[in-house]
Amino acid sequence: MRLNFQFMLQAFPDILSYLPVTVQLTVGALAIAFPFAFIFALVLIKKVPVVTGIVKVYFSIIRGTPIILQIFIIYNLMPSVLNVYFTATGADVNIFGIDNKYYAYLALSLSATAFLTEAFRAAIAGIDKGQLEAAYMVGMNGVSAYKRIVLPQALGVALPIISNTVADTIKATSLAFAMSVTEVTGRAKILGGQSLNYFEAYLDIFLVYIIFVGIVEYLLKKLESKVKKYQR
Amino acid sequence: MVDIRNVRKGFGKSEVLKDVSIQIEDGQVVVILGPSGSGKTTLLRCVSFLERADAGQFTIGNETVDLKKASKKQILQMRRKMAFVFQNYNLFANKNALENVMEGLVIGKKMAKKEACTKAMEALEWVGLSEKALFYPSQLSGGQQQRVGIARAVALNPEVILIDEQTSALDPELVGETLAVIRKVAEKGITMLVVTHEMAFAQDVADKVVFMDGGVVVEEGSPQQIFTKPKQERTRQFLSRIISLDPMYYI
Repeated sequence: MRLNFQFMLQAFPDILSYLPVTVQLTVGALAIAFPFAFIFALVLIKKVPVVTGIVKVYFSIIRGTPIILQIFIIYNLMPSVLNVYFTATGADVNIFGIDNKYYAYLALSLSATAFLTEAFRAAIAGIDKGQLEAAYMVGMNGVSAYKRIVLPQALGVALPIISNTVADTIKATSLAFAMSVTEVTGRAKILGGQSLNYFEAYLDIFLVYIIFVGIVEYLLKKLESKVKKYQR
Repeated sequence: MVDIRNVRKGFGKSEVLKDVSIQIEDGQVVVILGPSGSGKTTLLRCVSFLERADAGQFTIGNETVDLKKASKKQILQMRRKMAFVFQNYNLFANKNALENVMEGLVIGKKMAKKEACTKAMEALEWVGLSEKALFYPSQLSGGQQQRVGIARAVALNPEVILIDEQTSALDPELVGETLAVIRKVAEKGITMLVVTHEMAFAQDVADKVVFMDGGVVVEEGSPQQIFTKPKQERTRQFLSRIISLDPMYYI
């Protein structure tokens, strides 16, 4: 077997030009996941009745099923469900005209939310309760105590897991082709198929992912050491 | 005047505080002694609302609140009249020594940052740690952390300082420096309620000693009276054991 280096070189910039789509999918999914994960973590910590149960059921569903299956279900189910809803409420929205990217954001955010919730919950619970009490005793209310004392420290603890989840989400965006969103992997498949140079195309995206994920992890590592500067 | 009246607190079936009352005159230092499990720490935690008491009233100056029913707003108001020095220091790990002292001034007391910084530096200097102002708690020794904790309390200029076994987490060699600072606080004329195991300190600094056991005040009086001629058999027992085990620690 011989590698077609010329194809690899030609295809690389083409494939790379789809990296913004991958980035967009990652950012979109995480933008949904972070706030929800934070709220869910607080729900679990405060043991809010009923909602805690719902969050736990959500967890077991997400952890117990493959992401690709979650994607198929969202992609096939959501438009019909939304259509029924909008028809019933009489809103004039063309569901089938919605960009598939939005379904991808949602589908990819599901598992990111679950893992981030667990990371936030463990990190917040791991901060010594005594510091919270000390904050109350110097006259802070709950919100300032969390904002100024608990959360900055929890962020440092959670960052390694956040970093993992971000990497997982980047990699999971390669499943978006199943929702006909063309990102890096999708583009490689198309180019490889056109000239039957699949292997070369996959080698190209191999490099793209490993470098991209590497850079993101490096930046998050930097952030972590900055956030944790108070530790000896 | 600080007045703790008829405090009761139970955890599940065990009653930890059974109707405890303690009065402290302005500027007085009251030391609570007693064996582990006697309810000393729980009492401090109840009057600072870190635990909800089952009953009782608490007065600082002219403000009285019900320890069981106090609203969030009342709690915040009462807490701003007091300061707490914790057994495990509980410094904010993500803030340096200076910021630890400033937090309460800026957020709790709404002081301007610049003024708070000056006040905080004064407080740190007062406990002898001005050159460690920019150090994080993880870079300070236990004794230094405890002194930052004391500076944090004193800077708030509270009407009363509650001190919980400030030396029990410390290396014996570091106890002296902490006690010396607390004695300085006492000399400043700040009203204090101190839970301690340091007999020598109690004898030296206290205006009044309260001996607690089994959730009640067994006996109270001047240090001289409690240490030399206690009225209750239980007090005598406790003191003889402590003093023979732990030779007097002179500061």
